[in-house]
Amino acid sequence: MSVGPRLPRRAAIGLAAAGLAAGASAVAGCDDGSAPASGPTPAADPDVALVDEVMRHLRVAERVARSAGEDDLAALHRAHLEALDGTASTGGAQRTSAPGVVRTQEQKLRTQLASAALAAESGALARLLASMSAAVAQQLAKGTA
Amino acid sequence: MTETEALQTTLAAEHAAVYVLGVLGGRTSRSATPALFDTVSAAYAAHRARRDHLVREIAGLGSEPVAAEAAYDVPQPLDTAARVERTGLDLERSCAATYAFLVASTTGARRRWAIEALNETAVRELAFRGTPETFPGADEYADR
Repeated sequence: MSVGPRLPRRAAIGLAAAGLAAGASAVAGCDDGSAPASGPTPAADPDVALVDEVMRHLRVAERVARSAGEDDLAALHRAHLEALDGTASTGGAQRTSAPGVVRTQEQKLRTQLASAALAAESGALARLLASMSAAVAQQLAKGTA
Repeated sequence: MTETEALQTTLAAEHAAVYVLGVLGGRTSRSATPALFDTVSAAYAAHRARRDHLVREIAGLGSEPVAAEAAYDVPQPLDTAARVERTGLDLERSCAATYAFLVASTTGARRRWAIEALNETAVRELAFRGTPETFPGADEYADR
């Protein structure tokens, strides 16, 4: 599973790369020895911070699920992290979380994902985050979480 | 695509869903398969409510809500509870994809409504014996 170009992190990286390439072209085309004119600075992608926040929430939920022995649920969160270009936090899998803790965490995560979907500037990112919240809703309804 | 166009697309999907669920209800026995009857009935009521909300929303934007077709293709045969269930599940999955599309095409209160509709539709898949998915309504992410 990998991230498509529509996701904000990649988009932000692409934007930065395009900016660098444009800068390089300007330098290459500047044969009068003068410094290139400074152009407008590309605006920061507001979704980058949102994705970082979502990945923090997913890592917490993954750790809680893993520590409760809920391997399928932890795998779901890892798949969601991968879709956002993130990875799960590493660490031991000691069974410390009670089932009730997992359910509370998942309910919180569902709300966080839905809120993030609402806040996303990118429609494609909103769709992905809403899908993730729906996946968690299914787990809650099934009783896995 | 404008928000109104996205809402019209979603309304067209809900018209079809209400029609198909009506057919499924007619093929489901309250006495022989009460759980399935309840599932189909609940889904029918939910989709009717979604449809009516979409009609009001589109009219409120000053547009003419798209009308329902006279009839829709319904998978056949529907002679067993399993086939009714399968058709209901396919319908909910299709609606999940439609609502995911609506999430991407809207902002603000309309997106909030679409997110909740996607969540509810995804959960309703389970009542039709669906299994939890990794990306409800956005299957292409699961295929990567």
